[in-house]
Amino acid sequence: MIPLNRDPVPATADAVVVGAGINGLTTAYELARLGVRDIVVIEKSYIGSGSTGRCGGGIRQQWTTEENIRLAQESVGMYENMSAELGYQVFFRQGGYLMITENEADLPAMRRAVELQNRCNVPTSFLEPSECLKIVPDLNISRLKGATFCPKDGTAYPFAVVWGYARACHRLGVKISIRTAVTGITVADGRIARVDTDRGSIATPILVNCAGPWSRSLAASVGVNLPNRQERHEIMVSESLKPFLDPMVISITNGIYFSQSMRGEIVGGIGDPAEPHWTEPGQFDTRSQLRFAVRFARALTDLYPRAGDVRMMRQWAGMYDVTPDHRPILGGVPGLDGYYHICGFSGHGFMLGPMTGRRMAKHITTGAEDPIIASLSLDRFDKGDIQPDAFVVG
Amino acid sequence: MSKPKVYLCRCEDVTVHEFREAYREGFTEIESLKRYTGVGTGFCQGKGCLSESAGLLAELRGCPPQDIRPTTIRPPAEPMTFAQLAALDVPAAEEDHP
Amino acid sequence: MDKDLVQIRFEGKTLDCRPDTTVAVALWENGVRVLSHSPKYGSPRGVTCARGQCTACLMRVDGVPNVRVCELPVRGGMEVARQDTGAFYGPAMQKSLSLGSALFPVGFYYKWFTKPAWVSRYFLKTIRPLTGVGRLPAARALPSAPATEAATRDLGSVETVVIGGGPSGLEAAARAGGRVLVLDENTLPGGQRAAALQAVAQETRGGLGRFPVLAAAHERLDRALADFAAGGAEFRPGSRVIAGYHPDGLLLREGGDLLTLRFGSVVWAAGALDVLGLFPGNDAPGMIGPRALYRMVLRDGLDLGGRRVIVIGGGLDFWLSATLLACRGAHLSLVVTETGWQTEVSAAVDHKWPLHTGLVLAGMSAVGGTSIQATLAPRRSSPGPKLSELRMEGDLAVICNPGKPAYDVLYQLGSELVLQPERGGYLPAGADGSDLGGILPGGRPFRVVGEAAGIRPGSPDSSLPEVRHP
Repeated sequence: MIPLNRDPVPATADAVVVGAGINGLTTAYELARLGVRDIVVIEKSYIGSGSTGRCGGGIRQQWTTEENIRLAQESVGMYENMSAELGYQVFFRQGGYLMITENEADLPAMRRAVELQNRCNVPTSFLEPSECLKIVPDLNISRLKGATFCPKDGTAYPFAVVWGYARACHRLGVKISIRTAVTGITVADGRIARVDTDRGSIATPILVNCAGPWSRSLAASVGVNLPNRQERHEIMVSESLKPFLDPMVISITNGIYFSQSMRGEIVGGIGDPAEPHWTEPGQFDTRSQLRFAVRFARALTDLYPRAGDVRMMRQWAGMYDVTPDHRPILGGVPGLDGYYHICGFSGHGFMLGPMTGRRMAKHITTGAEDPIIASLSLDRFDKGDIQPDAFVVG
Repeated sequence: MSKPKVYLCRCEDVTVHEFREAYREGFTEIESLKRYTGVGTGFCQGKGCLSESAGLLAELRGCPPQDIRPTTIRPPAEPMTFAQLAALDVPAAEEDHP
Repeated sequence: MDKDLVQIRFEGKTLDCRPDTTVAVALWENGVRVLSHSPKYGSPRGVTCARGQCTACLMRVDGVPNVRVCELPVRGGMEVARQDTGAFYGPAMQKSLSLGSALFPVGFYYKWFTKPAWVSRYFLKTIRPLTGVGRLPAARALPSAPATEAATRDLGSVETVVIGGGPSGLEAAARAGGRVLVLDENTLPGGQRAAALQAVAQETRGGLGRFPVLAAAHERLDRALADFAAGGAEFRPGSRVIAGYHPDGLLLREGGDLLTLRFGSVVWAAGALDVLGLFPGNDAPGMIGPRALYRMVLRDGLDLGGRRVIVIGGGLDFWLSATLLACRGAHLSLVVTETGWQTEVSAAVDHKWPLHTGLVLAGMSAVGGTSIQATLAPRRSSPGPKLSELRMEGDLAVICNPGKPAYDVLYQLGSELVLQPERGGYLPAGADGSDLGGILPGGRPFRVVGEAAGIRPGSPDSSLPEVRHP
């Protein structure tokens, strides 16, 4: 049973989480597990309606900074046990990630990344183009210069993940109010005091901003300036076919990525430097572009010619909440007690969300210092302490 | 021999019974019902079942039909092969996104 | 062997086929009625929509999976096969699912076999090979030239595009100014019923007067065709609009090619789709809608002479289907489920067509490999002596329900949709909710006409256009 409250919201709560996507639900779940009572999740649309429900569902550990590798590794560990923990099948399948390049100049960085990942116990290996055929037969390797492959990377079904967390939240007494919009936040004496919604007001000492692409404007309403910008990214799904593709194939050259879902569909997208970006929700335009469909089809049929006779079923767009270093923003802000944000995942919220939700819940309830949260705090941008990852794709 | 089923969505084999069950489980939004049951995600792109599903949902919720908004726009209306798509010319990036 | 016939290969057999038809009709004429099995329950499916919009006829053709054979022309030597009868779960699992649907609640795969983690992993490993429908085509040769060298497939821009060349679309095109282009998937203007109306007008030698609904529709078609011919609009045959994009405009499919078109304003005249309805067995092979019947008989040349055909429903399409089938020598069983067609019912009785009233469709089931059985129950409100349940068997059943307005591409272009069940389903509307027209995002006006606007042609109680008999 997934509880969906359409009634007025409770008058008081111990914590209000805004957004019922991967970040909001994992945070609410972990807060409840740590004993926080009376948690309310406010969702302006339906569960998973924002970026989570529009994403490709990929989870990888192949990064170029140790911090990112550790974060992703911890998340993969959680995904490996998620179906059992939630009692809900999230279809996490470890088919691996095959990261390819057509550019000789990428090879030294890829080899360094493999070494670093191996040091972190991520079982990535470097592959020559011909070795890729063992993993994806019929891949067009004519222009490939090399690849890395980690068999423990994988994909999960985003909706199953948020439904599973929503059910688990419900079991722990969390109230999820869908079709409920935040209309205002009251701050008194430097503390979060109240959240107003179109279904009533909730007095609360804690507000967790998990609003994804809307997190910037929600933060602005309490005077917090996030450097995030919101980018449209498009994705598509093909007709369903018997399994032929195990891993997620991802090109760091042209930004195409594709995998085969547990329903048999090719799910994939391609980065586009021309995709627009905004900062105000009123500007968001998630209409589909023919340009995307054609660019994806060309890149796919070039890299995997056997897909030429496969049909595209549907395409759609979602928003990335992008930070200047493509890494999330976690924690609170000085001078505003009870306010926390978990945002800015830059297209990687689904893969990192379970882990960041767990760490943030602990941080919120105990106030304990967490080195990862500290390193991903908002003030890093003021300090100029940023380490962008070289492998941002899609 | 099993009793003939009443199919709501023939592409994904979703029966009226299953749709009602999913509603009872808490999937009360057309978008969530679509993902959970598979209704409208098949080859016909919802031509055969979107308005039927929405009508059934209005009945289950006891709300006026016009309150049930359709699922998000997801082109195309008819599947096409990647080879067909790849053969199209697209306008330059500058023209698309001034 | 008839020299005009061609041979296709179907699952190891060689079948003789007329060359000028589709694979689905060729298989039907060869007694192959089950073209696929449904993904979850493995339920047999036969040709249904005859316009490539549903899943029922997806087959493997020359190694390519999921080909819609209801639109695929027959070509000598082609290899056709059904695919994956155990799609998704495998035949054994499908059988248990189908028999024990109470034991398998909806979404059971989310709830069962989740813990401990090794069970969940094993479950995924077990079901993974069962997922998907159709197998990836055999390896293709690498493209010989880069796709960027493909010919430009852009039709440029028109002031007004009319999507749908039925009477309503033609009327709108005749009245519009500027460069007007009418797009239609049929080869001639007039819409989904035109060929059927013209055939029965000719084959009954002016006998349509007995059926006022047909006479009125035929007259309107003639008038729309004449007005259209007198106007300056252009007709583009065989062109199906398959997507609408902002800002790129329309994506059309003509044969195997895709083309793009931009426009200033759009008239949405895409008509309606067949609706079979919700009743037990509503997927049984051998059951089609009237629009599919017109396509299969007139586009694909399906010969129904001597076949037993059940026609159920009401409206213009019921009478048109019945008359067309009578003209082509089918053995009819007619079930009029609507009230109010007195003139037409009397004419049918005079023609000695077996006709039932006061019944409603209660269920359908496949019988043997090639027949279909309809179960008809007495209408509850029916006056007079209580009728008992009636079963009738046929080679084909045509179900004539009010059509469902088409909306998809206009919705993709940005119109709103409002659910109006009494008008057949979702209907396009302006952003302000206004009916039948408005402004698309980006400022382009749109208008919705005819059946796409939920206007049912020839309802029994609306005032029919005046019928003149020379």
